[in-house]
Amino acid sequence: MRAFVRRGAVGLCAAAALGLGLSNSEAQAWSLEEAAAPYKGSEINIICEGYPPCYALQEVSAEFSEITGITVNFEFGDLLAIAQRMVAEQLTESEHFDGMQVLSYHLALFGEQNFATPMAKFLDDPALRDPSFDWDNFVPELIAQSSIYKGEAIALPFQFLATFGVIRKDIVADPSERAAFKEKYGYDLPEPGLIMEMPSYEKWRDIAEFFRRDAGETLAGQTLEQDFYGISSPFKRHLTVFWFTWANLVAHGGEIFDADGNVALGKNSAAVDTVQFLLDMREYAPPSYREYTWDEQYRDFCAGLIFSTTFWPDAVYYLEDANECVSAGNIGYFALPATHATLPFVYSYVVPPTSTNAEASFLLMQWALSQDVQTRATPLGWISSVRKDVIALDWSHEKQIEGDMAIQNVIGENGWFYALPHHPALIAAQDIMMDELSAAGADEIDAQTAVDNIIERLEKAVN
Amino acid sequence: MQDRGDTAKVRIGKFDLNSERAFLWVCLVPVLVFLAIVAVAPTTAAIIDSFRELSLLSFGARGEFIGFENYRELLSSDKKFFTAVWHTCLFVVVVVPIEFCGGLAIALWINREFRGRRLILTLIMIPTVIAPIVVGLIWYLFFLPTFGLFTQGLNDLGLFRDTGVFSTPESALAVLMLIDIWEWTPFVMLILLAGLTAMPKAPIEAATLDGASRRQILWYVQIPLLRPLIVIALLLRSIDASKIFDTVYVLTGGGPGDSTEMVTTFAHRTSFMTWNLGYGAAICLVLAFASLVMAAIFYRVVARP
Repeated sequence: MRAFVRRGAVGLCAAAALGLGLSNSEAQAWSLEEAAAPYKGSEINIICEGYPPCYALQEVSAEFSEITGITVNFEFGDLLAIAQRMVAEQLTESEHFDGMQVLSYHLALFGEQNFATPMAKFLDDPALRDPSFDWDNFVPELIAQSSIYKGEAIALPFQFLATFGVIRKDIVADPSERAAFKEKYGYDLPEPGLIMEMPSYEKWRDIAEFFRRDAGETLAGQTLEQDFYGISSPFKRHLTVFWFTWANLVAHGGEIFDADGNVALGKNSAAVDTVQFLLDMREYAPPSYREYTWDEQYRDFCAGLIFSTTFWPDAVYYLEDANECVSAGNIGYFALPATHATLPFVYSYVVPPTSTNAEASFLLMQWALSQDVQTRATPLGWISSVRKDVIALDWSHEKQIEGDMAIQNVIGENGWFYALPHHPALIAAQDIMMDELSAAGADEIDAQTAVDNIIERLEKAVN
Repeated sequence: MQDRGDTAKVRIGKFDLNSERAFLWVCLVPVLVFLAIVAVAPTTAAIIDSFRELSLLSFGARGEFIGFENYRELLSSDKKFFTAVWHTCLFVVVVVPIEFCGGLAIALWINREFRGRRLILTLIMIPTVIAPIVVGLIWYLFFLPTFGLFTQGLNDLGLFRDTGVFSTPESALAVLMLIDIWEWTPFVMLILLAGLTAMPKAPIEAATLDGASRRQILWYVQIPLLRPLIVIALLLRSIDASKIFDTVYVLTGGGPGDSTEMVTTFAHRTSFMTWNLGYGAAICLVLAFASLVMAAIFYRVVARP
């Protein structure tokens, strides 16, 4: 995080210097209330995934409405369903939505098809731009992903979901388990703690194997009433298998498209290694892996049936809820093994060109991205903020997000955030990979064939 | 009193507004306009789109007319399409006869007076009146791995202990069929029950007097009299079953692998996930054409007097 803080400090100094360049009177004169005055009494409609960050936005937007007199309406839905809805809305030139939460790997499609209003339209307008809004306030790798397409800002950042591993640190800490593991594998389990280390996929495999227990066996001195699984390995034809594989592919040192826009899955063995690892893990995962999505994964980890898995902050927000889950307070976080390169699933806030209230929509997100609002919204579930100064805050008092924010600090500090090259065909990659990976999970094809098929179909889609 | 014929003569050109023909047109026009808006216009647009390169990923060629290229590719080299066609045909061939036999059996059983008949009829109809997407969610909860109500029951019987019911291609497809049968058998029953209720009593009484058994009455009297309704029920169910989407979408997403991929889910993925709208339109039109051909053949074979 030090690197971030340094960069942030430089950025802030630059911003301050620029700020001084602006006339003091201009900076002082701008107020949200005045900027929003022409739109007072209007309504804006936002479409958003039904999950903690959007609920947090909804919660804070009440305050925005109070200040501006602009009513904010929300429509929530399943991630894939809203993604489809948004593209369909743009294709049919519907004027209903004024703000859309777009997955950043869909952003290239929005940019290419002119489905997003260039931010310059708002940011170049002194009446709309809050002088304190500064791109340097945000993590550069995340901004590149959330907002910039072909050198132009076409969206504001919304939030991002870093991918990381979660592990039951209470079980890792059990002396009998540690001793038994060392005896069997010849090395120690990772040191228990909020932040843990998973050095390699081979070791993760050993750990998953070791902690796969049947009902009736003991685990950390307790007799198990249900089967216990070392890991989860979702292979349902669902978005989960795509995210899961992509995140681990990046950690293995692979990528879908390279910076030149070429299909990069065949450039090294990372793709096959990733798929093979996930296929191998089925042995230690809940047997319903062919119907497994992040929902089942959350449910089983929450119920204390899974030892470790790849996960995302929004789900962890609920896993750390002591009223809901046995896992709460017992989770250790680790950067995915091997290269530790971390795929952040970043979300963008797009103002569609069809919006009839674009300025009000922009004002909402600009306001919501301010440090004050982000600091207040983060504990409400706005995980994770793209602002450097918000990530850097001490969140140890907020137990539902403490681990998530801490692991992001580690990832950021080590420069492990993967910079995603935008490519419009990523939206096709999503479906193609779901299809082929599900077939691999169902043993219809092996890892090599799955990867070969994905490459062939992606190249066809691109060309 | 004025002559009725004189007052009725309101004409636009040769068209008598008070004629029976005019009355028919007045009734038909709103329906035709409605159909033109909700059916003819979208179908026309789909036909045009199916001849275009309308993929959101083909930026250079967007909207370009490419003749029959989408159809050529679909029908000559798309193995996934044929897999989906095979699953859809298998689905229709299995579920429709079972729904028909089940529907007929229930209709015959319920076609008599007994205490609680109306209540039973209402209860039987519940699956059909539930929205298909909700049906999918209900069964999803029943068959949740580990925690599902039916999963627990199956596990107690020693079944599906190691895998969920939607984890193997065979059981996933079988359960989808079972759900469709559960959902739509009452619909077939309702159509046939309407026929049985309206059926004239005389032929049955005559057959009874002639000493015909119940089976003979069913086979030689009731089923021939029900023929028009049987044709309608089978036709509607065949077309509807070939369009199954909601439950597959909710329960399996077409998986595991592509073992439950249907033509509709394939078209949906093509159109709304890979955003190849031209190709997706071609898939839908091939499905529509196949349904029309199937209906025509079916009607000729089954509805023959």
